[in-house]
Amino acid sequence: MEPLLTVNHLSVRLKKKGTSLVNDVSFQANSGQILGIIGESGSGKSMTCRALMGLLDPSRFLISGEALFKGQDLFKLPSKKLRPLRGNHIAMIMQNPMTAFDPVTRIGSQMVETLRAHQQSSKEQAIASITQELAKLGLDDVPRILNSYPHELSGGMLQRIMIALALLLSPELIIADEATTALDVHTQAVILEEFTAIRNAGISMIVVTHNFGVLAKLADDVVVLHDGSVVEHGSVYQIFDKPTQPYTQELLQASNLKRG
Amino acid sequence: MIEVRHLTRTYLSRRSPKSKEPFVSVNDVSFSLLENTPYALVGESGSGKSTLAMMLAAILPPTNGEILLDGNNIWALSPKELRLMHGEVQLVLQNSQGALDPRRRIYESIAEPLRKLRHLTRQEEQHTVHDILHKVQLQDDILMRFPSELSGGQQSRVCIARAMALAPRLVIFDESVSGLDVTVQKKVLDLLLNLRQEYQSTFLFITHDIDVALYMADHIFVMKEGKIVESITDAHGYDDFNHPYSRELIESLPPKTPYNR
Repeated sequence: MEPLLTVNHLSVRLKKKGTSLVNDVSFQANSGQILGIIGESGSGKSMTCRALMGLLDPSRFLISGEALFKGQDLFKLPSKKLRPLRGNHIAMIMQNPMTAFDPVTRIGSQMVETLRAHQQSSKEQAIASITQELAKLGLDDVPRILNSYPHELSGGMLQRIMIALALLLSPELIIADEATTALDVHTQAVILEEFTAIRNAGISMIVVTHNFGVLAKLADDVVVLHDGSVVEHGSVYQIFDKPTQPYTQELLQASNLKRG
Repeated sequence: MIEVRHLTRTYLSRRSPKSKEPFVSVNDVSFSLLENTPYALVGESGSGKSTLAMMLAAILPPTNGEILLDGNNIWALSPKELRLMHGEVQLVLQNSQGALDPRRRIYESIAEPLRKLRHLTRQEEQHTVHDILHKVQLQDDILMRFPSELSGGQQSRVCIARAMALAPRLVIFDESVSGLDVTVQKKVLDLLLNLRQEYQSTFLFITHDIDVALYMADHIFVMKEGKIVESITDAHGYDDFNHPYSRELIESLPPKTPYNR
């Protein structure tokens, strides 16, 4: 299996106090597969994602290590070259759909703006492809959605809109950071099916979660993070069947509530 | 102990304030809870769980129906009697950070209900606070801290301590462990199981998580769109749920192992 993204010795520190947030993290995401990253709050899951996407403010955070995406080190690329890469090749789905959209702009113009920032297309072409993508994700009444402000739509709808936006640019890698955490089981099930379909379409994913059920449903490989370091890295079957580290075992036990 | 008869609560729709058509949050709900028993209530967001919790805790008046505590309708009590009743029925909320006064030290937050509802000397009050603090496995040094200086798990333990300090007969937990990490959640749930045994209280766990409900109680209610659609007295696993909506909830759960994805 060919690695699409290889992360070597990634560390993130706070510049001011020197506090270490992510500590010597290495893993690889294979092409056409889903890599799951699991950990509790404060384990460094989101920091790792944001570092990979170049979303950490360099005046506050110190990043070391390398992240090779198809041979190119993302941390060494100048922002001019990074910009076309993000969106077109690597897309991110955020945890909280309610805050990821601009609250004072209608959904339609936000989507068109994003699309046209990355590809040459007219407004009409953009709307046509958006409509098609939203319909694929099971959202009907697209004109009403495009005309709505974010607060007029439910969390599940907004999450699907964010997924549509990520898919529209046909990236090779999608990073989903706790994308189903804020949703109830019903909507979560719909989104997880969506992710399965994305994988089946050949797009690689990194799925960040604190829920073992999400990994059981989706992941091929799993990275377990604790206090900013990798505790265990293996196939999903190995992690579920033969976790070697006590921390992984504790996490698994705690998430499997059984009366004894 | 507590009996709920035809309880209904409606709100005027916020989306169209002028319309006379009210939104029915809790719709003709009836059930009764026995002394010293754990119960769980499962439902999705918007099913009316929290509205029901607030009515049981005598914080929100029902539109229709009655809640009888030992045969007395709590919404017909005088304000003074109602205040005393709060010592018997306590509510623990989901957002423990929001439930604690940010400008008040932890000691004051735990001691306030005791001071208002129980006539204790300062020494007895201090003794009770320390005692319950140890029962929820917190150290003395947090008493002088502020809520913002505690972790999420510690905050939820403080909220549990505040409710249990009164030794209430009924405690309602409205999604009290939902925001916590799985390892912390497990510890808090185990703590609650022990506390319930010790205080011999009736607990009502309101949750959206069927696994949590099964872990905490044998008697489980399933709520959908303001109605209780299923009441299972002896629930041990998924197979005990029969209503189509309950089945749908169970089928939406992610798999337990990668083998049956």
